[in-house]
Amino acid sequence: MNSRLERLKDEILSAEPRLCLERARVYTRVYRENEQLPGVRKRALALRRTLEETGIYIGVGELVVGNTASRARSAAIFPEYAVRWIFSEIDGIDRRPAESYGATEEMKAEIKELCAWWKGRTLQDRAEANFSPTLAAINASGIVHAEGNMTAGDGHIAANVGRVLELGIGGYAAYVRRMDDALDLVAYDDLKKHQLYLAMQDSLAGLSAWIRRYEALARSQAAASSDAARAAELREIAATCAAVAEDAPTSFRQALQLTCFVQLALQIESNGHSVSLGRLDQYLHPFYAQDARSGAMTPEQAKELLSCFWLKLLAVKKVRSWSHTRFSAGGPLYQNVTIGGVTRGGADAVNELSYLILESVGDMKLTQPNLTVRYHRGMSADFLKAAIEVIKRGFGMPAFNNDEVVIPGMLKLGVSLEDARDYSAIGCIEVAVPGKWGYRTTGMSFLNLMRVFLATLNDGLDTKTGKTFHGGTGSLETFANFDQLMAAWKDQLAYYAKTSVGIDTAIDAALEELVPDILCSTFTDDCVARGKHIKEGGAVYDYVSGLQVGIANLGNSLAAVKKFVFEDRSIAPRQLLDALESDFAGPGGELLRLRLLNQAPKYGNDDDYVDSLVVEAYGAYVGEMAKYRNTRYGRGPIGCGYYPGTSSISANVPSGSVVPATPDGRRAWTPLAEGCSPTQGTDTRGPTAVFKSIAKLPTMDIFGGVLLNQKLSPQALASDGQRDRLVALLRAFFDDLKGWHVQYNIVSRETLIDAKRHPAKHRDLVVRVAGYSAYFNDLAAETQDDIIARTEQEL
Amino acid sequence: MIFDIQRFSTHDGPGIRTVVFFKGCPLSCAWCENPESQSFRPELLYTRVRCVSCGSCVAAAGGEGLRADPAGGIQIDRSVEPRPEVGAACPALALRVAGRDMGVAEILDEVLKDASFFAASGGGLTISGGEPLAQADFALELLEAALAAGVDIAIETCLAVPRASVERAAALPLRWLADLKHTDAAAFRAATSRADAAGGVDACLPLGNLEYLAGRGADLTLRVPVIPGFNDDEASMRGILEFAAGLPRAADAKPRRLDLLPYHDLAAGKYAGLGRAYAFPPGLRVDSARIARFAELGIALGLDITIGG
Ligand code: SF4
Repeated sequence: MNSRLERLKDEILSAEPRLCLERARVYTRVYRENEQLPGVRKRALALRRTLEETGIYIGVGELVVGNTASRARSAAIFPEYAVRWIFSEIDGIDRRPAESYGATEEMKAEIKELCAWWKGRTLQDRAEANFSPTLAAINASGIVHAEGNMTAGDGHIAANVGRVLELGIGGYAAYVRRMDDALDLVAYDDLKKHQLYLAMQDSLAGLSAWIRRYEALARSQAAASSDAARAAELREIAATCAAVAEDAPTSFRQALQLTCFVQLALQIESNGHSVSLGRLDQYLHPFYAQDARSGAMTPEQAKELLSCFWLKLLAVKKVRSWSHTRFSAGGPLYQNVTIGGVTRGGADAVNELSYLILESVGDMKLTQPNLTVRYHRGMSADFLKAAIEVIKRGFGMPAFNNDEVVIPGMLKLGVSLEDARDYSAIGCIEVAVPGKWGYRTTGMSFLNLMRVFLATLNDGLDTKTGKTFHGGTGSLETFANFDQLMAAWKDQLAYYAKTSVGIDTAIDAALEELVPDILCSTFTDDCVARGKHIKEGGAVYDYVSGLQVGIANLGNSLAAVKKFVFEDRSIAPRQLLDALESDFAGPGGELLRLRLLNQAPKYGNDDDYVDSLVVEAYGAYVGEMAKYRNTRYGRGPIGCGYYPGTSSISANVPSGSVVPATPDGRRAWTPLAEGCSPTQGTDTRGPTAVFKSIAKLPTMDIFGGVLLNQKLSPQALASDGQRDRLVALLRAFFDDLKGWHVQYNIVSRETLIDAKRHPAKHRDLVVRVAGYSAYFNDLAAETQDDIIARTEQEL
Repeated sequence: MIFDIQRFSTHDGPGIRTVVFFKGCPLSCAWCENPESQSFRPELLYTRVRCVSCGSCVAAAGGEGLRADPAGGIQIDRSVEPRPEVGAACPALALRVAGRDMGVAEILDEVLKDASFFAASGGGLTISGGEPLAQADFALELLEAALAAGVDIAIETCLAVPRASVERAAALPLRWLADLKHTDAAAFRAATSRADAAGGVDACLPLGNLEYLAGRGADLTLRVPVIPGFNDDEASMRGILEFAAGLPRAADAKPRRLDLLPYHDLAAGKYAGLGRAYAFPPGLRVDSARIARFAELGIALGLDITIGG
């Protein structure tokens, strides 16, 4: 990292996160003044005005420019999504235990004033109005958690940046105008399309104007600068902006700068997170190769520009409600960059730029972007080793996704072979074809599997709320055998799976009406051609998935009940239920808990007894979700179905906080297991056994992602021999066992414990939380403890 | 008799390996990392701090060999051989029976679970102990079965076993990780003798076996534990390294591999768990400069030295 980058990084990391009101002011004004306009046009106009009016800056030493709020690490407010949490939390927003944001009393007062207009008009208000009383009650119970979808909106998408680089913004505008000109406005459908095309033109005009403003700012800063070298840099920035404001880029630098503008503008438009960049090493490569050939760009220069871009991604912040923050610990934006994999033709896609991206991310050690390497059988040992060198630096990146399972899985879903080979990670570990896939390949509602399981044991009664949402077929006391328990589980699960889709549908309907993303739709195929935004069915592919939390707990609980209650008959049903209700209180309680914890098989140890139960119980969900369709079904896209997903970010902690004690020996209100990883501390047979257990799941059907986190101690990668073993471990897991994903935390336990005690000493300690990396200091204490508790695998 | 099977071992031969630990050893070195490996009979390993004094083990033992300690915890009569159920009864992972009879097929099933990882890493099965060749028939049967299943095989051995056993094993394509503890007969005998074996083992036995294996051109790595007060003096170590360098090898062979394994006390807790005293004072280490000197000496003698291993 050179001194420029070091300084820029330090500036951003030391910047106090604050709230920024500018976007909220413009959006509120435009909506108030234009109530007569159709929704899509209000939305685009508000974006356009925001891009035309709100503060921009070019920091000292910056080479890549762009900002989503008036200062680095400031967070804009998105009142159109939800304001209820803002009213209840704004006064204490600067004093939260984690992710707090600075705001003066005047700012708070103004925010309340702006938000007052939005009361009753927000996405959340509309979504909740769409809920039936039962859906509302279940949503409130915590069994299904969909809050983020209402307070933050969609996200989880990658635009077709490659095509933007090909056509330029002006090219897109011309394309939209051509489509608009061909309409026949006597037809209802055409009128709707016309409104959308006008909106798209507004959003594109806003984007161009925004870029021109940076050009002008750079020019005036250059004129005012007494430092000749910096003035030259500023003139270069101005020229770069001028070149891409309308036209297609012709150099690497221009292409990267335009990519940055698009990425930031999409995050000004939408409050959703996981807005991802797709296959950056593929679409930027032609530009880099040409500049490298002509001598216009050295690898070092390219790395510096890339690093400047990463810093732009790092500067983005989103403020979320406190309860949503707990589900996404560390305030991540999950802006994913994917490298590697195979080309559309099937060859190894790794190129010089893949290495430069990998190395610059490794040098910078930031939490953004979230870097994914697409593994495939033909990946060179050299590139894998380079990836492991970065993993060694201990900030959780890159993660690996596996072509050997994702590509065939996509083919099964009806994706064309070329598109399947062109997939990228979105957010953490979920995958989509960038630029052609709708929102939320994962990220629909969370389903708390353990609440459903406890209802199964109690004849449908949700012991947390005392309500019975779906009457059961018996309780643990009346089931004659384990098969009856399993059947009851499937029945309860089917009910809640359907409920979660009901909640999704209600929210999706509201998203479609109130907060469609116009710019994002413009850049997503085939929205322009169809004249539909993404929520109306504009995308080529549109599969979604929710997130199921507590998979290991489910398997372990089933195994314990099966063994102790039905096979050994050494624990009476009533005894177990009482122990769970009382959180293992009383003299025998702790002993019973230890038996459940230590004497029953645990998932993650390659033990078929329990692994097969996970496969059956979670597999039932896989089958159940295949029945459902999202709101775009029959409206254009291929697919429009649901599949399961386990990339439950940090949701295991708050999800656990609403679950009483469970039969796996887990105490009430403590974290659930994360993703598809084993329960913390119970995987005692080493990493190969964990891999084997995971691989028994139908990974190809769990298309929302099969998340596995492994923590390694630094010694585990100390020598070349150890590193080669990790390479071999990965190859076997991916080639043979068809693993979906794995990521590594290389931090010693001692370091983590020390970092919790002395946060100041470890300001830049990055850890892998779930599918993403976060600064350890940004995490709440309970999440820190959860990470410390995860089994450290010795290689 | 087996006392453990450990998957994903990375210090016991090339690649990712599964190590099968045989119970029972003709020697009884005071620094042994696996003291539960020395006896040929099952033994109880007890961790007092985990014990919640629930009495489950006492009940499972049917009053034989175990009783509740009035002060908390349990008292163990080590003259009584523990039943397997006793360990299984403990809910707190405080009590474990080390040692159970397993069949070749059962072990092989467990080993083959990691076949994918062996193939990708060039790893396989390592038999260890204890001394696997002290159960030579069983060990050979397992090795042959693994070989037939396409698994790479290795052995960790002290070589304090009859030549005939070594010869039988040497007929297989086996990687040898063989101990070389001392070249002085008296020092070796004093430090390694079992209380129940009158006279102990002569150092000439393992040394002769080493010469035999080297002479056959076996795939041989020497492992030298560097133990304070036993062989960490210049003279002892020079004797060891010179012996290693002098072992026969083909003219075109690579330098002889030798791992120096510095003493550590990570196993001290296990001695307590077996109700045995640990012979070394806490915190004892071998000076790393001294280890480095031995390594240099070995390299000067033409050996391929690794520290740790
Ligand atoms: S069963 Fe375990 S916890 Fe209970 S008394 Fe025996 S050793 Fe202690």
